[in-house]
Amino acid sequence: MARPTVNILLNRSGLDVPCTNPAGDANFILMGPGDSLIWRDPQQNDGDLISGVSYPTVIPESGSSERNKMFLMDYSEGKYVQIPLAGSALNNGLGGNNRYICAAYFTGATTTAPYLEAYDDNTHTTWSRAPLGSGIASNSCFRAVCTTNNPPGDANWIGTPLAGRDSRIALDTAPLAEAKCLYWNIKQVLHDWMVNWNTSDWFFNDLVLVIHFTYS
Amino acid sequence: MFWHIELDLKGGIKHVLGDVRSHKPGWADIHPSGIEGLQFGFLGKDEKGQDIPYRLEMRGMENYNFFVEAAKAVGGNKFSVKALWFLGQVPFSDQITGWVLKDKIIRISTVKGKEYNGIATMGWKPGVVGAPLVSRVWRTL
Repeated sequence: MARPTVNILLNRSGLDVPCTNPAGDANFILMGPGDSLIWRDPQQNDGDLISGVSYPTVIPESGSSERNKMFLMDYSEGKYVQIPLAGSALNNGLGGNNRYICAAYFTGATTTAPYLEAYDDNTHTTWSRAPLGSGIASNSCFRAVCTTNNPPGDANWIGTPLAGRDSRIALDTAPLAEAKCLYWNIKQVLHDWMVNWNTSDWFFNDLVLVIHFTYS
Repeated sequence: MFWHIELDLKGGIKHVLGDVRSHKPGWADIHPSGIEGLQFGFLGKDEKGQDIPYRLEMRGMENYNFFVEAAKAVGGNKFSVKALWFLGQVPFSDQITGWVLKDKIIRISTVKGKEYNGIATMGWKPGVVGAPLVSRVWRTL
């Protein structure tokens, strides 16, 4: 059980189908170094230039709302790549009970089931920033659901808040016995009380999603 | 020797595994009939950043396990080792003892099936019971 390579891929098509190639296929695009995920208003479109106009989502006047569109910011191409099936049906787009959205392809076995976690930065040690709930995991903006073995089960799926090791999702039910592709769906939720955030909270770009795994 | 697991196997055989910092530590590839003891040398840092040699020893356990905890960022090629886990099962019990080496040395005491942050792990190897139980980490200089 050597250390497996882990490739992260995103489904850029409107087809809810599994990934057929760990390097990417007609539906899945391989995330490259420096690429990131971002959520935008419906006015932002697939293929828009990163250097062009960006359309942030508006905070709801009351209650909460799911951000509308998820994109891969493809820095090598300089473009937004929409991940159209991401999120739940509450995003007023194509989100819903979709299974094959984000993928982590493991080339070999693991000692434990891999986890998806969110941290303040690439030291992967803290999860206290405002977008991750300021210490209250249930207030994290990021919610995810494991879909390796089944779709979310509800078009309006709620998901698990992501906040370090306090709140995370297992990407399978058991350690991996061999090479395998794991899947999850993810969304970002905005709340009316976020109007009280500091500017630095909104422009804090160090947040990272991490795949945590073990090998021997 | 640092960063290599040294095993005392049944029959007086000694076996040294690969560098745990490499992509292939080697634990998963061995199938011993019985482990009498396990030792591991590693380097820590003092407050001035100087290397401090340590040694970890476990002996007399019914079963042993070792694994590397790692992380890979979504949207980057950065891979990082987070911790080294050394676990032993106390004979004739569900008690698990052991050590986690990360930015500090943490002693583990839990029950079988919940040894890794509350969940079970794969890769346990049989030990040889009967000898006194040893589970310790000490500074060698």
